[in-house]
Amino acid sequence: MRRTGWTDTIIILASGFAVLLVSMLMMCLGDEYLVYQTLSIITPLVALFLGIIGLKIYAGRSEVRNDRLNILNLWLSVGLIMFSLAEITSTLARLTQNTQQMILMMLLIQIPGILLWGLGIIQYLNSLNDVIKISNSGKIWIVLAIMTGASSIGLALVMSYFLPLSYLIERIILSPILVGLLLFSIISLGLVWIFRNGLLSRPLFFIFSSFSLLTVRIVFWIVTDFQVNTLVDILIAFEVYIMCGATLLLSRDLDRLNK
Amino acid sequence: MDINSIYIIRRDTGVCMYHKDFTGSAFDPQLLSSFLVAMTSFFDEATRSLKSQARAFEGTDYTILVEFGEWTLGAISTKEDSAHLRDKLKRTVQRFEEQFSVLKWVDLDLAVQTRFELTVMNEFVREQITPDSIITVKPEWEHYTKRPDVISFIRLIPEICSVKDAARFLEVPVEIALNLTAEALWEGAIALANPLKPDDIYQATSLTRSEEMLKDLSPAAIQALNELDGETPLSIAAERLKTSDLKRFLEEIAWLQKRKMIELVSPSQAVVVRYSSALQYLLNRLANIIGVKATRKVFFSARDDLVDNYSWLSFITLEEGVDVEMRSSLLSATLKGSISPDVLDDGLRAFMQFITRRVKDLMGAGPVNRVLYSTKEELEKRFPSAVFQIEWESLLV
Repeated sequence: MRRTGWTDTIIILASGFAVLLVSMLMMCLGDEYLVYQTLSIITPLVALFLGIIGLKIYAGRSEVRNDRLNILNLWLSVGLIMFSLAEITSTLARLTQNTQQMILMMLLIQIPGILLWGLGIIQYLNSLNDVIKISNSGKIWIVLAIMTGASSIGLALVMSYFLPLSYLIERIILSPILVGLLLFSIISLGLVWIFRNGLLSRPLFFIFSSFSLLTVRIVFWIVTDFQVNTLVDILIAFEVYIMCGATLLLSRDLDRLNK
Repeated sequence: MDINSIYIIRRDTGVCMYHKDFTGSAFDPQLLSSFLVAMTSFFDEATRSLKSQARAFEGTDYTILVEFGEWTLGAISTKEDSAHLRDKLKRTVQRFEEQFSVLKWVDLDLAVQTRFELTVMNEFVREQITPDSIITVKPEWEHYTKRPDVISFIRLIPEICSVKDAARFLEVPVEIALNLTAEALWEGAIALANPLKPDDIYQATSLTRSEEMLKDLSPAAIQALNELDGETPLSIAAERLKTSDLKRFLEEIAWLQKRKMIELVSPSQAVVVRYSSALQYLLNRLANIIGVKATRKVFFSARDDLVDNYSWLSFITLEEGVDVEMRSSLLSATLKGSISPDVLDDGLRAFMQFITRRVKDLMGAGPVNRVLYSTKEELEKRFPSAVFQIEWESLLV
């Protein structure tokens, strides 16, 4: 198998791993507040930085309007910028101390970023399906739409029935987001499986990791009764953006085939 | 048939050792052989060349192609020079020298005329017969042949039928019927016509048409004339013209061909058109999966690796995105027939193989093979039968 340029990606991944280790160490040492404050600042900045790098790589290619891989990466970059804005807004909203309103706002401002990422991966799947005919194109989207809709409604009903009535609106909003993220995770895992023997599986694996961690974050919100903007929450968000940045750099390196 | 007659001549004495006339209008073999040997010797002397330089002698409506062996020379009387015919002639001369090598040293009667006919038949007659070719038995065919297998073959088949039907009548495999048809054609007992196929590629013989030329043509035929550009197969031309009756459309094309207003493109051009379509479909699909930049990179690295062996591949490039462009040097070589279809087929197949093997590193074998299957399916819509002339199995990874 040929090698691609891993240097930039390794730097990004190593920094993500280092932040994770340092945070855990500091938490063990009881310095949670410092870690929390630091992460609150660097998480949106990292998302913004990686998003801008992604835009710089993928937005300048005028000749590739029909290049679905490029479009996927472009959506991921724009999504990262949206997420950085969401993180900044939630940090600012946290300062107002109105928890209920802050949570609602945080949920709503996460949606565009998730939608952009989802749009990218679905468009890529569609394009791949046109080429290698995984399934009947019309049928697959109808099935996915019905399943997503039904699962979202079902999940909202289950949560409102079994969980406490506080945060009901937030849970109803979160249901389609969670189902959507699960769907995107499954799609990206499927893509990793399809390309498992090729270099393309590597960036796709990091996309899968991003979606999975985002799903974990949402599940964490539900389980902890919306303990948002905690240290663990911000740490997960940080790792999500690092994974996405790794995807962007690895996809760029697909062009740089070396013998 | 493309050729009128073929001659194998001994270089030192100028004696014609083998000849075959396909049209009944051949030159006297001994006269021609003396002329050719004299002329080639003259050119060799005049140019002081150790290697014979003469390649063709042109008349008003014929060309005599010459190819040299070690001690013989082969000549073909044909309408136009082409690399394809030259390759065949070279092979024939080579086989003759191998089969009758003893004649280089001693003059013996080795029944050359009868013993060499199978080689010439396979090289020049057999290849033009397809299972769909139409056999028409000549009225007085008994006078043309005395071969028992040809006689029994013609007796058992209808007067007009396809080779496939003949095989069914005789209850033999199509391959045997093809060989028997070749023998009957060789003997002159039958006439052969190849029906138009939907994936044949035709081109108009003239871009400017006078009123008189278009006088007897139907509106459909005039429209068809504008669609036949030397790149579009008949099936696609019919589709563009929204023709509901393909059979009728093919009849119009046959009529245009009879009037010499259109002609079948050279075999080399057909190979290039077929492969360039396949390459374009393949690259479009790959670009959708691995991206345009990576696809371009794969294309150019595969081409660079092969360009030492197939220098003409440097004339195949990509325009914006992954749009394949064949440079005019290559296209004009295929039009003139100065590059043989076998060479093109070999090089383009190797090129596609190099591309698929490189892409395997990015996508893995399974998806690459699925991309190839879907490329083949799409190409089959354009070239329903010619698609199988590409060795898809060799492209799989």
